[in-house]
Amino acid sequence: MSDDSTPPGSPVLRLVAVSKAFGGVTALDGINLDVEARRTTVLIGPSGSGKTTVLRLMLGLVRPDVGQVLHGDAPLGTYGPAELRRFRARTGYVVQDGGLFAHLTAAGNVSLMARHLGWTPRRIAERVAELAELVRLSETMLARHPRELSGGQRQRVALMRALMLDPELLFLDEPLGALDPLVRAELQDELAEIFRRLGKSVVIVTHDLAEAAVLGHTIVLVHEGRIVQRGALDDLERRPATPFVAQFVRAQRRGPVEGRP
Amino acid sequence: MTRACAVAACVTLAALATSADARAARPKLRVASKAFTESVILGEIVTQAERAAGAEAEHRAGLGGTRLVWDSLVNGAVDVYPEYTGTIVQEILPALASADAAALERALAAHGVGMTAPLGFDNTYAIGLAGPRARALGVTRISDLRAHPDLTFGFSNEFMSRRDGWPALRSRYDLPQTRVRGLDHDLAYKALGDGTIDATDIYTTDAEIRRFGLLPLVDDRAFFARYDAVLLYRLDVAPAAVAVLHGLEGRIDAATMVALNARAKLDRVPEADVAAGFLGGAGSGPRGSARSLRAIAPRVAEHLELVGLSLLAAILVAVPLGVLAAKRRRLGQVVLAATGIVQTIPTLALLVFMIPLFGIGTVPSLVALFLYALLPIVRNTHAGLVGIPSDVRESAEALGLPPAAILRLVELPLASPFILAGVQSAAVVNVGAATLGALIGAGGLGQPIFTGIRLDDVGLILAGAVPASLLALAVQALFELAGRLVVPRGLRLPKAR
Repeated sequence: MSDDSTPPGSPVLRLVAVSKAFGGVTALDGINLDVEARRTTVLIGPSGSGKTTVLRLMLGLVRPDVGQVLHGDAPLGTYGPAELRRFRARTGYVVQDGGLFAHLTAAGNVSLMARHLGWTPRRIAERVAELAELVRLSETMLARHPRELSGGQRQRVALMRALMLDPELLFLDEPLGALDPLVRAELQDELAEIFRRLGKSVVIVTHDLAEAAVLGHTIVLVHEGRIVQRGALDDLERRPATPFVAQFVRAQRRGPVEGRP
Repeated sequence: MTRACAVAACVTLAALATSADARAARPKLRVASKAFTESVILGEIVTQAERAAGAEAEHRAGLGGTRLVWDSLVNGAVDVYPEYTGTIVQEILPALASADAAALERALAAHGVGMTAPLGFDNTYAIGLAGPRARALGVTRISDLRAHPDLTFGFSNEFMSRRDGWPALRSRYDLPQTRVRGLDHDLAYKALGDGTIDATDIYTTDAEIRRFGLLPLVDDRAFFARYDAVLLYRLDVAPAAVAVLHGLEGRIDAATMVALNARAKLDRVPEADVAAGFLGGAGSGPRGSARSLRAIAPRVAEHLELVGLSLLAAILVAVPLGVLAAKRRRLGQVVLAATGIVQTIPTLALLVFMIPLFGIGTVPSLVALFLYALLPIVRNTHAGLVGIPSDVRESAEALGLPPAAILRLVELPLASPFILAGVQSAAVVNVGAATLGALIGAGGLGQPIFTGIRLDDVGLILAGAVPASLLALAVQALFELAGRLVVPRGLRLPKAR
């Protein structure tokens, strides 16, 4: 377990020799990964490399075939349903495209879990206002339904929903993937600022190297279900561990990739 | 919440079952008749004769076909009904080797059923040709039809399918006609009148023979069996009541029956009054009011009861079933297939299946409508839930919500437009299907419709059909309104600008 006293860099959640296959197709093969306290880890790699599966394993949404997911010293696999739900409530998760509930307003999405836990309306209102300020979302937008919001606004709402219970862990899957380049650049800087201010243990999935460099302390490059290299952007550029790493870095540096000029 | 639904469904079904018992416990003598005028008149005569003898009797008039009424008799849902010897031999007991009276009596007794001697007339089948057409072609006998292969025949649906009906007649006489179709017996006369068909099956006591100037063709190969009218009754009926039935033997000859039929069908005298006239009494029976347009209000109420109760029970059962089907994929396939099969059973056949279980009247109709309403609701609930994107479901799970809360707070609201659409289509279909309830004595708007068809009374048909259509439209409108209340605003289509 960790709290604010945990020194930055010590592991909060660990994947130990984890393998996972879906219908006979290997998604992850012998992954070892530490989520470090109050630092941002970026998982990067081509689509289909198994990045999202890492997040789903870390939430206990799927179980490893081989290996263990350790939360502190306890394997997630030993948690009962109620324990697992308590763990998830202490973990924020933003899926690709936000995964907002279309039938609820933005505020309704953000406060759903708090209402289920029986928070007072006043406490909910205060927390929602605090988060709205953090992600710079106006009160008018909070009253709208997801389909009445822009892509960027939806991502801000999804982030608010993930942060509502002040989780120790925060997982984001391609949080900026579907946005146009200008909004994307703006949100990248904002996210980096938010992570700095909140000091959470964050895991972000992306396929964009520049985005990884802006947001992350540690970059983890995943390819075909294996971790091929980890380190800072500088390490990947100067000392690529495999020809694939060199190729991946070169391709991203060469020119317009995924909507970035 | 799922558990609450299951409990409510059980309570509703238990309430239905109890009312079934209450209905079955009536001590009255229950007389039935089939859905044609002569049967209804005979049923009225029996009912009024029993009442005159001091018995308590009620008349379930105009029930569906032979099989339905016979099953009701054997299962004890009714006590007496008028039948024809030819129908008994050909349709009800086809395995019977010899047709002599003693053998027939023994075979009926094996089913707990007794039979009176003939009432006095033989209402057999005949082939009736439009008079002018018959004279122009020089046709007087059935075998003459062989020379005219282009004639169009329209036979009653029952005649088309029974063993002593069209297929056997065709092979006995080597008839070449290919333009042959089935239609309602009473509609056949209209079709003869306007020339749509040239010939139909008629009964020898039909009032319409005179009205439409039909020529009954001579049965020169003695194909048609005798159809002596008799009364069939359960052997457990009180002896005093049975004595009254036997008292009617030999009292009604063919001429009398044609006259009684003509009074009901041509002079539009209610069957109860026709029967009263025959028995020498006066006064109007309770069914006389069925022809009045003012009597529609109770029919509407019965109709709403049939549709409303069956729909309510179906929602309480089908929504949890749909949830189950969505959560357990294998089980889901079974549930969807089972409810789908129910949907393919023709309504009347389903009603017949209900008789051994629930007798006749409101309860079997409710159960049949309930079964019909299941599929659209189960299917739409299932489709609505399965259609929720997996990342939305995982987002809810990742929040730490327990499964029941995810279902209640996220999945059901997201699926609500689908579920509501399923309930709506079930309701609209049931408004139509409930009219068939009249065939097993459940009343409703089908009653004026079927009585109107039987009596060739367009006003009466419209008196049932128009409110039924309006009801369907009202149901449609009601669900538009319910959509505003039930479906969350965020899921509704944006207004056109």
